[in-house]
Amino acid sequence: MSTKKKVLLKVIILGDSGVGKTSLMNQYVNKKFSGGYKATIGADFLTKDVMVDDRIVTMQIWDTAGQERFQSLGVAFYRGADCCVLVFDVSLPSTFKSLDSWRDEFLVQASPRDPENFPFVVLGNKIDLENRTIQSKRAQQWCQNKNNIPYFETSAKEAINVEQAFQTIAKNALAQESDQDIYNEFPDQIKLPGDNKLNNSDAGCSC
Amino acid sequence: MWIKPKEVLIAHALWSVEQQSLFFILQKRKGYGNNKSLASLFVGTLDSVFDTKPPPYRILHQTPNSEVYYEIAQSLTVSEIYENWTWLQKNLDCLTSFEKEEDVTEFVCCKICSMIANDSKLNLIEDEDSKEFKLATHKFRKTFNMPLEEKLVSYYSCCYWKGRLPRQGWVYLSVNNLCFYAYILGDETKIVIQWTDVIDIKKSNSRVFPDSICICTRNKMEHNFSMFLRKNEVYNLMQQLINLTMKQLIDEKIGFNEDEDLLLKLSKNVPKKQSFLKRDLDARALSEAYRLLFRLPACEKLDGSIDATLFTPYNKRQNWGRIFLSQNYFCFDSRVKGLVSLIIPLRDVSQVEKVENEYDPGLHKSILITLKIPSKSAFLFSQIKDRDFLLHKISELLSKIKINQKFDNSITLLRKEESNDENAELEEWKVQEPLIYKYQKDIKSGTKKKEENLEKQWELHFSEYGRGISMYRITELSKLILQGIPDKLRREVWMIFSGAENEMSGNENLYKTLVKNSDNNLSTTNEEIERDLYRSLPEHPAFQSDIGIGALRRVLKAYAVRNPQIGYCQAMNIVTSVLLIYCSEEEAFWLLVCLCEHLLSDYYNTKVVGALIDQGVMDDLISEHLPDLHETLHRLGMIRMISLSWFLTIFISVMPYTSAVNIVDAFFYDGAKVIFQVGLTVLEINKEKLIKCQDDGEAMQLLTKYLLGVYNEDIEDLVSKDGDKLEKSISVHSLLYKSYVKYGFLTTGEIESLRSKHRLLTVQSLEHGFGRNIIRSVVNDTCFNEDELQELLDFVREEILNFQRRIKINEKQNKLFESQTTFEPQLVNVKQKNNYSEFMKYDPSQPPYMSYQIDFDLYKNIYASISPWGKASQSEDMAARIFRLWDKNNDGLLNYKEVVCSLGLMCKADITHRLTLLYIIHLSPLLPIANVKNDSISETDTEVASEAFEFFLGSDTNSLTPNSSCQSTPTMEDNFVNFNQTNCGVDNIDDGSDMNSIKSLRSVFENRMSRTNTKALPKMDNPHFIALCKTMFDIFQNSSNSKNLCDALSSIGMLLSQLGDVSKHFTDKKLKINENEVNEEEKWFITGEQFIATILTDSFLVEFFSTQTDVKKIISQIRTQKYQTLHNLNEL
Repeated sequence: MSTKKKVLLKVIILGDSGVGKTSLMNQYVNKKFSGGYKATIGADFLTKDVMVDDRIVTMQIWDTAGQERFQSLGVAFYRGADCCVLVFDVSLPSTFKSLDSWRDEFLVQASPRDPENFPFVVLGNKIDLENRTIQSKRAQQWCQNKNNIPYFETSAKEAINVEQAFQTIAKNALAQESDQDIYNEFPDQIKLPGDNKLNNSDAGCSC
Repeated sequence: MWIKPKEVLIAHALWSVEQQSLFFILQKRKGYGNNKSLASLFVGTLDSVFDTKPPPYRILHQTPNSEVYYEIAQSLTVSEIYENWTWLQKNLDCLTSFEKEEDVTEFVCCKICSMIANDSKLNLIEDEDSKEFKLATHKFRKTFNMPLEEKLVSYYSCCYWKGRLPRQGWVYLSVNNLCFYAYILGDETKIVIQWTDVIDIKKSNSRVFPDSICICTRNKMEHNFSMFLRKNEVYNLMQQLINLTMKQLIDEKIGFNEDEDLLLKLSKNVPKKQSFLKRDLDARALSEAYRLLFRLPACEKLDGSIDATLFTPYNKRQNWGRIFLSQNYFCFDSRVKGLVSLIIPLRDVSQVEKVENEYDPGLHKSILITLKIPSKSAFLFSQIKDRDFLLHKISELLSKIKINQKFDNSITLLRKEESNDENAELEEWKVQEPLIYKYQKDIKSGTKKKEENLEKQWELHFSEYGRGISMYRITELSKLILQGIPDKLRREVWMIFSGAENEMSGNENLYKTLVKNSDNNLSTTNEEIERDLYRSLPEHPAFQSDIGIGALRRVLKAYAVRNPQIGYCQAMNIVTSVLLIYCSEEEAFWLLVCLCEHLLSDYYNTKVVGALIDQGVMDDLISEHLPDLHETLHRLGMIRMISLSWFLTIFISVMPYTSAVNIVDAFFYDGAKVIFQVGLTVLEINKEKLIKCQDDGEAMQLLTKYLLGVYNEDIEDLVSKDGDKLEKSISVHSLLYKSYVKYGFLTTGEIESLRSKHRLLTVQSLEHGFGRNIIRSVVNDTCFNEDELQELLDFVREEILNFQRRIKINEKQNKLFESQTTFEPQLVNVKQKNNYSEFMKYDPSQPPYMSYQIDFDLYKNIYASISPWGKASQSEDMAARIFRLWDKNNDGLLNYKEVVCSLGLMCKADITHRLTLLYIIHLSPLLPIANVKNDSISETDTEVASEAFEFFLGSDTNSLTPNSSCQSTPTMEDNFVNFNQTNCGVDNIDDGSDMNSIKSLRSVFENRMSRTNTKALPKMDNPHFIALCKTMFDIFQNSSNSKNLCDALSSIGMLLSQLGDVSKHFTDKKLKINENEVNEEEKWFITGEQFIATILTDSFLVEFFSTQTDVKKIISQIRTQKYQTLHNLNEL
């Protein structure tokens, strides 16, 4: 039953304010770059159909607000995520440092069944800039320590590595999805009432 | 009326029964009424002869098997006695639940007595000021062991349901607590609930607990109170106190400050309420409602209100309504809602005079208020009963304002002189005029005509109803607003209706000063602003160049200076940029102030609490008005998703700004309710489609697309940010119109009351979630489980809160001595801030457990009450050493993690760890050698414990005095750094090595999971060892098994000291070869390994050090004890 169903992958993009989350998403989905995006409030959202291993899947990409005070409000969006993309700005060390807290926050709030193996992908964005301060080695080191998270260096502006990165994201998300068919095999309606209550109380308090 | 129950022996003679129930009889005296029987004649005679004339109606109480009747009520009228009767029927049907009949009688009598007390209190207190209240306060403090700072607000007689049994007693409401006390049949009921622990309050009327107020607390307890005389008053007061507490939790700065002005207030006809505080709170509530009604600045306090009529020249009618007066404003609101309202700033008033016209009864007792601007408009109020008093009041307020104005003028003059010198250098920027002037778009000729037409309508309205703040505000305005305000007039209308005008006119040069000082912001705040400048309204050309960006930067930075609590929050940039298009820079700033501080309060603070609260309100509204959709949205988990950007940016970030600006028009006119209205309408329009949605993404996309398609028919094309044309969905005008038609009935008051409900829920769930985060972050590092950690966290939090309150009060008292400082935001010296305000700061970049930090003062209390070693006579000294061991950064504060780790070691860890800790805190430098030496020198005092030592160490023992080692431990009220310095000084060890050795000691516990490496422990010399034995002896004193333990300790001590001797011989030999001048004493040593191994040989000691402390039990014991026995903290 699940094979016939349209495969939907939910991808969450996290990272500090201004690292280029919206730009990455738009570059990937619309193949466009514009300097003129508004700061994301709450969350933004785009979808794209992609081929992964001969299967057509729909990627649902959620772009979130980056400012610290919004960090804990993400809960509502994390539900049922298949992959989490952590973005930092290679020219701003502080954005790299906060990857840890973004990752922890996500794991706590989304509470996936197997947090150790939940697929993350790290993107070091803005490599087109000249004043980069975070070298690839350091970022790779971090990723290795966290159970070998795939790491990509991207530029949303010049469309470097964006396609590849999102291919990997889709692939890993799909692997997660088939591991964890629970989302699809049981239609939402069945586990609803109880689940909902839980979710609400979660949503309220975790902030 | 109720009377003091008294026994009646013969119940039926002379009385006829009117009503009867199981426990009560309502009787009428014979001889009353129409019944002219012989008996009644007889009774009448009797009464007249003996001149007794008792009231003709009475109620008796009797239990079925008792002979005795109690008269509990009597009355002269039928209606009054029936009122009492129905009250009994309604409220006392619980009586059947008592097992014994005596209990029923006892209860009834008690209840009646308290009702009488309540009534007489009402009567008495009103004349006799607060004598009785003082007594109650005294009783309250004594019964519940409350500190002096805890202020009683009010108290009521009521019933508390203990299980199924009602307990008649008194409920005391204070600023921080709800307390209940009952004493019935030797059974005492005492309940203390902190407002911070309340998670829900509701009126309920179940069969089990009839007509009661139900309060739920954090630990999932429900408390039911019933049988209030005036339930609503109590309920409202409770709610107000809770709301105040919640606001305090949101913004730690707002403490509860009494309104001193109220004391001085010239009051007339103000009934004297039970307490000053109650009056204060009532006044607060009224002022809040008043400010909300007229959108006045936060400092306005309602002075009084009086009925009057206002003459409206446009329809030549007198309108009944009410005049409200506060320090700076004179307002009027018609009795018919929305008919007309008026706001007159007193600063604009030029003249107030009496008008008398004998021929026109409509002008009876009138006053005429004439304004300086605009163009000498005048307002006529009549039928003012207390006209002289009102006039007196107004003139008093006016004179105050004039003094202030003069003062202000002189200041501005001074400032001008100052600034003239600097002008040349500093004035690099000019206040930006509305950007729309510069970036006038090509407008279609049709639109232009429409604009002009609209402008004309507005001008017409202005000429008829007046212009500016003091215009007659009538409902017709909303029609004009709904059509959209013409661009030219937008700034004026926004400023007037939002109340920003009022804020601005009171603070003329503030904006410029703030801009000047904006470099004082936290660097992170300014960085955040800088990063978002170009991400505000990129589609508008002004924000692609420096003109708009510069203005935006200044406004946002200035606001961050004004309100550091908020600083900068994303979304403010988006809103501000739209404000800048239509208003001047300064106006935009004041509009932002209004937005952040009144219209959308708490929206932009560090936890975005306000927006979360409103999401909750929205949730409620959806479930009430769109129940079927509510279900779908819940299924998709969307409620929390959709609305955040709607609220935070007033739809600007989700719609084309040219459309959203029309919603902003209505928003400034009608307040936050507009957002809810529009939100509900959008959902309703899309209801069918939303219900069909399979997942959250689909629904989100649907709404996003719909909102992006909201167009303004006056503006040509909808162009998305990518240059694509967007599908039009609905014109913003019809959306607004629909929202008013369908949801216009929502009122600001309704929203406010929903907000206070959700404020409670949100704050508590934030606290809860935050607490869970903290626990999660430490659970792997301590020996406690999650439950225990939660309990400990609550406990620590309570202690901190109590402590802060005390500090705040102290600060306030200190402030009274200091001279008044002028308001200069840049002068706020962060370093001078008291340490304690930092106890609970929220800093997202720190691990969660860092948000709770305690100093030694608090730690020693917690240690004393929780640690199994805390009862020892030297516990403070030990606590100090343990504190120092765990204080990694040496700042005199332990964070929550360090607190629970240290406690866990003593309460839960395995025996080796506990012994290791005990051993370590008796090592130098934690226990400096000097301390021990001092002890050995001062051989003066001997005390109980020393006997044991003499037993095994012989007469040459250095008996230690417990006090002596305390002497060198400084009082911990001082800065903790002193502690280190003192000890170092004595020890002649430089700080660095001291710290290092402590660090190495600490490292033993760094990894809980690995087995402690006891071999790595440093050796211990004889004096330290004696101190250690001493401490253990001290600890055992309070144990139930102290004799066995002390015996065991004696033999162990003997053994160890022999071991030490052995090593002494061993080293002696070695050392004799090398050196000859080694001090005898220093050669004696034992190792940690020896110490632990030896202790492990004795079963009593093993048992003592392996006992698991039940922290939960201890804490609950402390809680109950806290309010029963005085503990030294509060002993003042």
